[in-house]
This record gives sequence, C-alpha cells and structure tokens, in this order.
Amino acid sequence: MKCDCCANPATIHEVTIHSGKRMERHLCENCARAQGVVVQSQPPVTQVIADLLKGHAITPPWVGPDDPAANPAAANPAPGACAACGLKFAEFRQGGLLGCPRCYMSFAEALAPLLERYHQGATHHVGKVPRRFAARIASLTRPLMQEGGPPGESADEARGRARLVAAIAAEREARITELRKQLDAAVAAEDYRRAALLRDELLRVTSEAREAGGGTPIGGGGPSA
Amino acid sequence: MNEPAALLSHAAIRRGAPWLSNQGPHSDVVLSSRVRLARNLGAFAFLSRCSATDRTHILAACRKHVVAACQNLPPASPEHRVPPPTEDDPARLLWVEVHRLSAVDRQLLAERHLISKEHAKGAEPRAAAITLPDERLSVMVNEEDHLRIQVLHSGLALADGYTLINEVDDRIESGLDYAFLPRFGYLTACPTNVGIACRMSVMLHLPAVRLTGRIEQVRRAAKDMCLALRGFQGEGSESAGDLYQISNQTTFGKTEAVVMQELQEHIVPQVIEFERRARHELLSGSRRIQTADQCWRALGLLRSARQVSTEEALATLSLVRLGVHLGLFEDTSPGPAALPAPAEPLISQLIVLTQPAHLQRLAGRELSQQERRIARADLLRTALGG
Ligand SMILES: [Zn+2]
Ligand SMILES: [Zn+2]
Repeated sequence: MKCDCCANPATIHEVTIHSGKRMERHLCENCARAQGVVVQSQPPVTQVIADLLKGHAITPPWVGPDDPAANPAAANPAPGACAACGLKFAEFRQGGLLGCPRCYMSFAEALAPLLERYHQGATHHVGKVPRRFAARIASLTRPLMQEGGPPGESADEARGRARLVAAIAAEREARITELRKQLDAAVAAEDYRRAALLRDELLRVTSEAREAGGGTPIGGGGPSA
Repeated sequence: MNEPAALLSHAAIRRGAPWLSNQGPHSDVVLSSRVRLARNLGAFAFLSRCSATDRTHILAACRKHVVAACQNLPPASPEHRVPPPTEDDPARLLWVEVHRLSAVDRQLLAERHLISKEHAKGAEPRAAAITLPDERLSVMVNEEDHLRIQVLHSGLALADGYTLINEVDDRIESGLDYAFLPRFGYLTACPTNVGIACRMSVMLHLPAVRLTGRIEQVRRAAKDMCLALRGFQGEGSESAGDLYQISNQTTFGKTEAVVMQELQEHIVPQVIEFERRARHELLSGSRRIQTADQCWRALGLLRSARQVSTEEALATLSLVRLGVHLGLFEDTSPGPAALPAPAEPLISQLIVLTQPAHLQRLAGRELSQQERRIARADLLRTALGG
C-alpha cells in the first residue's frame, strides 16, 4: 500500500472514528510526522511473531476490527466471547457463521473438532499461502533465526527467542506431518498421481524452509512464489 | 422498464451464456466447470457483523485492487471458444454495485451464474466485477465473504480455471491483506470453507442416469468420496432438467492440486462413463424405440406448446438435449424431414434463455408470470422451428 500523500510505502495506518464515520489514513513515516500524527513505536519483533503464531496479528496490530472505538460490541466482550468482535460461541453454533477473522483464534480449541468432522479429519492447513503474508513472516523471523541473536540480547530475550524459533519449527512440522500422512495413504491406495502431487508440495515446503535460513516459512509462499 | 444503459448488450443476452457454449472436453455430459475462491480482508469483521458503513469501506478497499487485477488477463485458450471482443462488444470489465440494480438485472446476472442467488438479494452495499464479453471471470464483493472470486468455463476445464483464478488471486492479494493463519489457512465466515477456501464444481447433464434409475448410485459414489451432488439451482432443488453439480466438500487439510485431482481424475470421469453407458443402454434393443419416442415427444411438445413453465422447459429440454447427443433426430424415416434437426449449442443455450430475466430482457419489458409462459413457448417454437 502506498502512502496517501507521496509514492513511498505506507507504514503508518491510522483508523479514527469521527462522529460515527470511520476514517482511514495510510502514510509513510515522513508524511505522518509532517501531519502531526503520533508515530507509535512498533511493537517488538518478538511480540509480533508471537502474535502471528497465535493468530493475534492477522493484520498489523494497530488496525482492525478489534479497535474498540470501531466496534462497540468488542469494547466489553462477554466472558467466552471473541475479544475482537464480541461473538459468543453459542451464537456461532446457532447461525453457523463466525464474526471476524480473529474468531478462529478465540475459538481455536472448540473449532478444531468441528473442522475435523467437516473436513475428513484434517487438523492443519496445507496448500496456498498468500504471498504478502509469507513475505512478512519471512522478514520478521529471519533476524530471529540467526545464531547468537541481536547484540545486547538479555538471557530472558534469548529464551523467548528460542521458544519462538521452536514454535515456528513446530508449525512447519505440522504441515509436513499432514502431507506425509496423506502421501503414505496415497501410496497405500496406489494412487500414484496423487502421491506425486503431494511429494511436490512436500518438496516445496521443505525447500523453502531451507532457503529461508532453517526455519522461516510458517507459510511457505504461494505455489508460484 | 426503459433503462437507458443496459447491463449486458442485447446481442450478449441473445446468444446466451458462454459457459453453455457446449465446447470443451466431455461437453456431451459436462456442461461447465467452475472454480471459486473465498477471501476476506484481515482488517474487517466478517459480513454478518458489518454495518452498512463497514460494507461501503470494504467495497472501496476492494474496488481498486479487483478492477486492476481483472485487467489484461491472459487470453482464453481457443478451445473454450468464448466470444471474442469486437468493435461493438470490446474487452472490458463491468463493475456493478449490485444493490443499485433493478430486480431483473440482478436476476439476469444470477441466471448467467455471474453472481450467486444470495448475492442478487438484499439492499446492503455489494458489488460484482465481471469480465466482458467472455464472462469467464467474476468477483463478488460482500457476499458471504468479503471476496468471492469465480472462473467459469464450458466443458471439463478445472485446470484452466484454477490457473486463471490463481493469477487473479495473487494480483488482488498484492494490494490487500487477506485474513490468513498458518494453522487454519484462508479464514472464511463459515468454517466449512476454511483452509484453501476453494470450491471446484462441474455441472453435469445426467438424463440417462435418471432414466435408467441410477441417480442414487451416483449420489452414493459422490458421498463416499466426500463430494456433494446438488441440483442445478443449488441446495435442495431436485435435479431440474437432470442437471447436477458435483463439488468438493473438503477445503481444509488438502491442497488445491489434490482437490482438483480428486474431481477431475476420479469422480467426474466415473460419472461421465456412467452416463455414457446408460445412454448406450437407452439405445440398445427394444429400449431404443422407447427412448426415441420420449425424445421426439419432448421435441414435439416444445415445437407446438403455447405456454411453458420454467420447470417444464428444463425437463423437456433435457430430453431434447439427450436426443441430440444420441443422434436420434437425424432419423426422420418414415415421413417427411420437413424441419431441421435441433442442434447444439442452441439446445444448451435455451436452458438459460428460457429463464425469467432473460425472457424479460429479450422482450424489452417486464412480463407477468403468465406473459413469461407465453413468451417462453414462443421462443422455444421459434428456436426449434415449430
Ligand atoms: Zn508519504
Ligand atoms: Zn470474532
């Protein structure tokens, strides 16, 4: 996304509610300063990654439906309701529709068995990943993967980083496990065409992991990325 | 209703829907193939929890990127025989705010399968982008998900459909943040679509399977493979015109390639084979005269009726289409061959041309139900030389 005022990429995204109207501004840092927008320091990278893994940063953390001003229902969510949109799980059971992207995290544990039932026992997404998402994750995680970590890292920070690296690896492992399971089933059923498709996908996931420096692709990039 | 700017040209309406052109592989049984993706923007709630203002913001956020993504697409492969752009009907993108359209125009788009029936209803802000004149790509904004992208082709053509839709998806995504999680994939309002959020379906014409009493067998085979078998008009509708849609139920834990392979290499060829064998059976021994009688009577009905309902048109056209593909109308002996035999793609196109909004657009005015029955009968008689 380009800056509203110049050709630089927008890094500051501002959502304001003015007499019930939602206003969005997307600015580069220079224009934002020039316009007197307070440039919030971005949350630490480890926080962003941890949020991404949990699903709390589907969007940059400073915009989105969880902005309480933009969504009164979310200001005081009932216990057990989605913190971003206020939907209760019982309401989902009744209507069949979730309220917002973050509902998937709010109700992750309750949804898992339902998804297994709808989708032939599946527990993990395999297949296409949006390019921007993959690129963002890669750029955020690459520095974390380096041996030794950033200069001046405290022991606590190092432990936090190690946990994240492990979580990212586990996420990737889950995809690989899912694909292996399907590959074995395809071979057992002598469906060699399908086995070949699954082997391609496995190769893609593992090779992108290697390219990205040992652990990056939570996503892995789109088929043609 | 005298609207100055027509949504689609009169010529486009008159020639019918490109996906019914009876072209492409296995078009004797497979009418069309559709690939559909569901996508949502990460920064907004799903539509059931969106205000009208939110919907307007989503439209504004999507418009620029959708319009840009649908320009300069790779040309359709010649085998799809989509209408080529001409001076009167140049290649272009139609962006319509569906909630501002007349009821007939909404229905017209739904009859051509360019938007869903659900999208055609409702007054809340919603839009559709449609490539013209080929009508192979359409994008619905603010349907059940923020974006529903679909590609439609005649015949069995899921691979070509996926190639095109994947490209369009990448282009749209280059400007928008999709709602996505590594564990769950593309996030959708309904969890039955989550994961690849990709629905592939083929529309099949299965008159012989029905006439030989085997539709339940097909249904069971589809169910065993976790595929859905639905009627032409979607859920619930029981096989109007012997038209069935087979689509993947599972979108989570399977790659796009595997889903396509399951449909294109497993179930669909089986069903095609099943229908062809049943058609063969309808021509063997004493069954042949019975089949010929049924198909000729259907043709006779459409050539002489003075009023026809939508259901009767679909059911009767099904038998005429069967007769065409069995070559039954070439045999006019004994007796004078006064009228030319009905032929494709006209017969397939009549499926859409006899729908209510098409009849009204062809007539150039709104018609009551009774007037539509008469107009439908007139159209069928003219088309079939009655
Ligand atoms: Zn700027
Ligand atoms: Zn929610």
